[in-house]
Amino acid sequence: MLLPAISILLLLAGSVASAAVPYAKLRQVAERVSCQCGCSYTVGSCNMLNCHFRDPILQKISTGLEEGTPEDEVLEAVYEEYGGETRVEPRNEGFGRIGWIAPFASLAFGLAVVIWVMRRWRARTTARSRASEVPDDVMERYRAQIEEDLEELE
Amino acid sequence: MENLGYLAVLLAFLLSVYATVAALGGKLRRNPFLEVSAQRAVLAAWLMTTTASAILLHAILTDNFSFNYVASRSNADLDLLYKVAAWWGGQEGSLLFWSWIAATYSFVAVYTGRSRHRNMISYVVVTMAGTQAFFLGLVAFEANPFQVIMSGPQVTSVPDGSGLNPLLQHPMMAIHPPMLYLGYVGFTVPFAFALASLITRQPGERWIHTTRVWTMVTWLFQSIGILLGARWAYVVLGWGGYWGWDPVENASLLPWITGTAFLHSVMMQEKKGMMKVWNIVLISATFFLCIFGTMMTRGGLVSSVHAFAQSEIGIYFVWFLAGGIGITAYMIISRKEYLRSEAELDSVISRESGFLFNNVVLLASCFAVLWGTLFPVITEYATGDKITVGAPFFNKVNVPIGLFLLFLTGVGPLVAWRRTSTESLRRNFQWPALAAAVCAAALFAGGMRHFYALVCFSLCAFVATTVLMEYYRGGRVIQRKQASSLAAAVVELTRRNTRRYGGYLVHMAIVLMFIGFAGAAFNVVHQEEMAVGDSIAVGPFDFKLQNVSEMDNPNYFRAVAAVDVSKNGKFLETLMPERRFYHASNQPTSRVDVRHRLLEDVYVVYAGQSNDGANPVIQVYLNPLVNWIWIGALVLVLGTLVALVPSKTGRRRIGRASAPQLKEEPVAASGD
Repeated sequence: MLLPAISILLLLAGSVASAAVPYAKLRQVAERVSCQCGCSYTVGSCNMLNCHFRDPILQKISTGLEEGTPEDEVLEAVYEEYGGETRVEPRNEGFGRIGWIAPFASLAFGLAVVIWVMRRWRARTTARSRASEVPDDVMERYRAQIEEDLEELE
Repeated sequence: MENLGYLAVLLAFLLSVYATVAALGGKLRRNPFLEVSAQRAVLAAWLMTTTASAILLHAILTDNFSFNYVASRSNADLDLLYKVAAWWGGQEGSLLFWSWIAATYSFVAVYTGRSRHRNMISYVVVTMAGTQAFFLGLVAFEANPFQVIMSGPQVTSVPDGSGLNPLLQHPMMAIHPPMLYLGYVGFTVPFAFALASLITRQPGERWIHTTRVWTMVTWLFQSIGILLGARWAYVVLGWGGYWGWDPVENASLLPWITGTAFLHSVMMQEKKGMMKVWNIVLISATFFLCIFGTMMTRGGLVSSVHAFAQSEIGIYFVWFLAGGIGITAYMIISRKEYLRSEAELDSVISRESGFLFNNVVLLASCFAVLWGTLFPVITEYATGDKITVGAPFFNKVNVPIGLFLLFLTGVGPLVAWRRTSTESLRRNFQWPALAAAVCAAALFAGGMRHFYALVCFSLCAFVATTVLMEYYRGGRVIQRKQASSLAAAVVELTRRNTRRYGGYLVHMAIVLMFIGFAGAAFNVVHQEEMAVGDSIAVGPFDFKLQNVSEMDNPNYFRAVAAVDVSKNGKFLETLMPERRFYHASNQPTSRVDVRHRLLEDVYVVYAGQSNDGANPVIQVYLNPLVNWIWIGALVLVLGTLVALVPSKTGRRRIGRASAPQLKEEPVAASGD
């Protein structure tokens, strides 16, 4: 049942970043690649033991950066080799662009609807208050009183 | 025992089905005996679910490894606390746990509400028992936790179980899932009351009060569950963060967002009779998002680190959702007249419009999270190429939306109901705006250049000033009238309107959390292979590996690194991160050690071993301000509890209003 300590320690051995590329840089780039080992993190954050997916990608990124290849090109090569699933964000083109636009479009649409609803409500209220025969100054006085009362109630 | 357990599940399922049918039949055929019988069936179903749960728990605690579930989720040397946690550690057990919570909620809701909401309680039973029957059906026919290990025709057992997932062996994991389940399942209650009131065209506001209180209770559980999950991720997973935008994390956030929107917009219905359709839609959406979240966790719709229990049950959830949404939509459309607004907006600059904007932004945030979570499925369907989206996407999309929401949190209390004059607006805004400007200027002068962090801290100053002003102004009035201290006056103020001032406490909690979130912009991480005696410098701190010790127990082997932390040459403390290897499951995990301070956490991880196995790899994170998130969490719980306490004035008002409302209820029965 009990394994010798040294063999367990070897089992616990994890990957270590290449010494030629600073770890912080490697991690920063690897944060833009989604790990597919099942951890649901990025390659930069995956802490799975001897991860079969993370380690070769880290190596590839490290080699690419060591050779002086620009960061984006290194990443494109990774996406090309390991598939679209490794992207952590949609590409800003084609269907991917919809991915970026949709959340903000929904917010804009929602705000537009609210403004439209408010204007409609406001128009009805204005029409009703025009039809009323109560003079504006009297109405203002009542409104001020109501506001004060509401403040009290709250 | 296994037969008894399964029989209890079957009976609970049949009783829930009976309760659903009897309550509906009793209401439609005006047969009070059937209605009462349905209510008793709810109690009986709870007793049966409790019996089944007790049998499973007994099997886990007594190491009965003839149960397939026990053998795969527990082991003999597991601590007692984690043996209990094994109940919800797997698909079958967690569905039974879910059913038990649902049965408990049904029992409590029905027996506390049957005299107060006599003419609609049967419809509450229909929704609650129907939902419960759905989950019990899954337990009975698709995910039976009472299956035994067979060897030919004989029941057999294994010498030891394969153990609970090591990541779940943490005290927080014993609380986080039950809290989340209490939240998820609990949203059935306000939904059931809302739907019942819609069906019976309830007059008055009493059902809104009941719905709101239940929503607040379940919202509190959901909040605690989410925050405990974040805390667990922070101290267990060892990646230095607390929120990874994992699909299952997102699934828990979605109903929380819509529930938050409901808690705001329901005020418009209570005060002005507005937004009735919207409120019904919101509470229904919250319920259906809970079901949807469960489907995501268990149905294999998306891949996730949490999807511990994927199976083929997803299709049943799809049918349940389709049926439920269809019925609710029909009810809303057919009761359009009943939901007509009683008032309209007087002015664009009013608290009403503030709530409208707040709701839109909350919903946009909900949509953004849902969209990102489902984007892989959508892209695969639309283009054939699956694109996963991770934290960078969610952060880019949600940070601006979140900041806008934070701004609205501050604006809301500054504008009055109905309309606000320009003069009052200027008067109310001047101090918060000044606080925000001073904060931004001071941080900029101090060298901060991170745009979002600057905006976030400034908005935090804005909202905090707003909340403090509210307390100060109200407290001063009482102080003058009662000649008491300001502190005593503020307490009195809060007691007079617990809901309002509890709500402000929750707003303050959100501010504290945003301070913590903004701190993440300045996180520092460093990883290094260290031999004993080696030192590394990270930020102003020095870390020296003093020694590595090894220990073994029947559950796991562990290697512990003793790392001395010092700052500017002054020793602070020794942190002891560990790496564990669990024997039963053959899985390694990291146990981080953290030095918690208000300004920053020093977070040290025993990340692994060098390739030759000679030296540990130590990972150091400096996480500024992260503790404000947990402080904010405590304030949020406090604020919600305060809001749940009846106000002094509220009690008087309810007392005055209760007599005529009691007379209203029988009239409503004719509207069935």
